[in-house]
Amino acid sequence: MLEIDALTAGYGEIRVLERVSLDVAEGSITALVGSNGAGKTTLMRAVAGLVPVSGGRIALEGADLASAAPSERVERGLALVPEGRLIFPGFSVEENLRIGAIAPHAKAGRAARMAEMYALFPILEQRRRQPGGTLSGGEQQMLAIARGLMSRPRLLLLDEPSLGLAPAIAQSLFDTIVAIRGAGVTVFVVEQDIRSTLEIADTAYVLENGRIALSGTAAALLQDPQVRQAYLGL
Amino acid sequence: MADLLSGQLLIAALVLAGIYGLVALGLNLIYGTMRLLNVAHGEILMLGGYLAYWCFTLTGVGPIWSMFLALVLAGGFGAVVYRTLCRRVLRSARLIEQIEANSLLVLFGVSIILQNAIALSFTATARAYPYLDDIVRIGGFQVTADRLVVLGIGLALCFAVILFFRFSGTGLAIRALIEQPDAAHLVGVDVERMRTIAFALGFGIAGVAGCLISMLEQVSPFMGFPFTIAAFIVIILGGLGNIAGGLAGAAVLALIEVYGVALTSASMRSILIYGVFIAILVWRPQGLFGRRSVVR
Ligand SMILES: Nc1ncnc2c1ncn2[C@@H]1O[C@H](COP(=O)(O)OP(=O)(O)OP(=O)(O)O)[C@@H](O)[C@H]1O
Ligand SMILES: [Mg+2]
Repeated sequence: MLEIDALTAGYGEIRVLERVSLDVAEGSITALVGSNGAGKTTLMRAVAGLVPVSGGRIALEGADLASAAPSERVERGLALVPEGRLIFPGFSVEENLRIGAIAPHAKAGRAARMAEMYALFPILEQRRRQPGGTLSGGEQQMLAIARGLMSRPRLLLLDEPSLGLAPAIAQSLFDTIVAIRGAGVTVFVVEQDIRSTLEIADTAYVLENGRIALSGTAAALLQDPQVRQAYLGL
Repeated sequence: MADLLSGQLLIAALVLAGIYGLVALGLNLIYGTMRLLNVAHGEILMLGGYLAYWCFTLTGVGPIWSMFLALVLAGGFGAVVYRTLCRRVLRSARLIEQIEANSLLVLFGVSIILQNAIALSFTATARAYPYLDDIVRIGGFQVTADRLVVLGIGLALCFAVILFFRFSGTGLAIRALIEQPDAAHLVGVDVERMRTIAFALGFGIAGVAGCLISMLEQVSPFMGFPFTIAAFIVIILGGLGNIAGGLAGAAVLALIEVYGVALTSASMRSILIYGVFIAILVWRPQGLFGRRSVVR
């Protein structure tokens, strides 16, 4: 689905990612974990087209994304739910969902998808007319995910979706991620809650200082002594 | 001292509010979507005024028709200015850091070129044409027909713009770009297209405002600058990037200007305008209505 090959990227002179290679298989939940500042967000933003790439290749369903503007990537079926949510605070909840479907291919069936989102996150329907900025943190996270799904993605990138959520809400979020994959959307997720993430993921990568340090099936990484010590505190 | 309760004064204030609203709208759109300071905005209005003047003088076609031509021509000019000049000052992250200063210089150049090109072509003499200047009586007061027409068109256009931003997909996308540029990229807003549209719309509406003004005032190559200043004050009053706030800001400035001049004298106009400018910068730099609430 998504192939990243020897990707190098950063900000101006600062190099953050060093020859990162990874694959996200179609229909999978693939996790990317790593400590603060490892470059996870940079990787996600590079895939979405918001951070310039200085070397390597990113391909979506076999097609190179190098020259594609962010909006074209959305048009090709990619959606990023960014770290820190970045909803439109002055837009109503409904307008946030409407703008989620701004890509040309997402216009068809917009109303039906909005109804699906309200079914998935009933609280959003109650808050329909309220400005996004007045929602609670958890509600904003739901809105950001729903907004991403409004563009009919085939690949959904989630950057720290559980950040700042109460444990119970975070747990239901992981259930939601499984449900999203069940609906046929491939998921690539960056998370701090490494245990819960590895429990739902198929494949996982560990990023350290801009390089892939470890990779394998999620089940294997969950048993890996290095991972257990460094990330699970066992 | 004029009678403060006269209908004429109220109409004059409303007319001016409509004009300021339209001119400031384009400036606000262009600043809001890409942080470009378009100091040539008044010159687009001036070009619209000349277009209306020559259409009327040469062919007898009145400004209520030539304003459609102005909308298309000025809009097209806006798209060309964006694609040729402004895209260059936006092309790299390093340039974007100094976008305000760079755009100021580039567009100041455009402004000087346009002023002088028109002065060379048509001389610096101010020109006017007689159009719809019969007197209409409404209730107790009299007003020339052209003012009523300008008022009607100005208000209708402001209303249309609000509806556009509230309900259309393109309007929503432009607001998204103003409110949260990063997220707008992410959800798939075609940013290049929206910027081009913002320029075309801003310039087009300034061209129309020029046609409207030419019905009331003389046109001259240097008529634009005071409107540029007024438009800057209006968008600071209304909140940068806040479109509906800008329309309200236009009403505030027009009321202060018209009633202030009526209470004092015409020579006080500039002092009043700049006084408002400084007062707002000192006491409420975020604008009367705050910055982020784009069209509510
Ligand atoms: N806009 C930027 N300009 C310059 N450097 C940046 C920028 N954004 C991030 N960095 C740097 O790049 C490195 C990687 O940051 P990134 O946000 O990708 O890490 P992360 O793995 O997502 O961390 P976290 O877990 O805290 O979210 C950090 O050292 C950070 O300081
Ligand atoms: Mg991060």
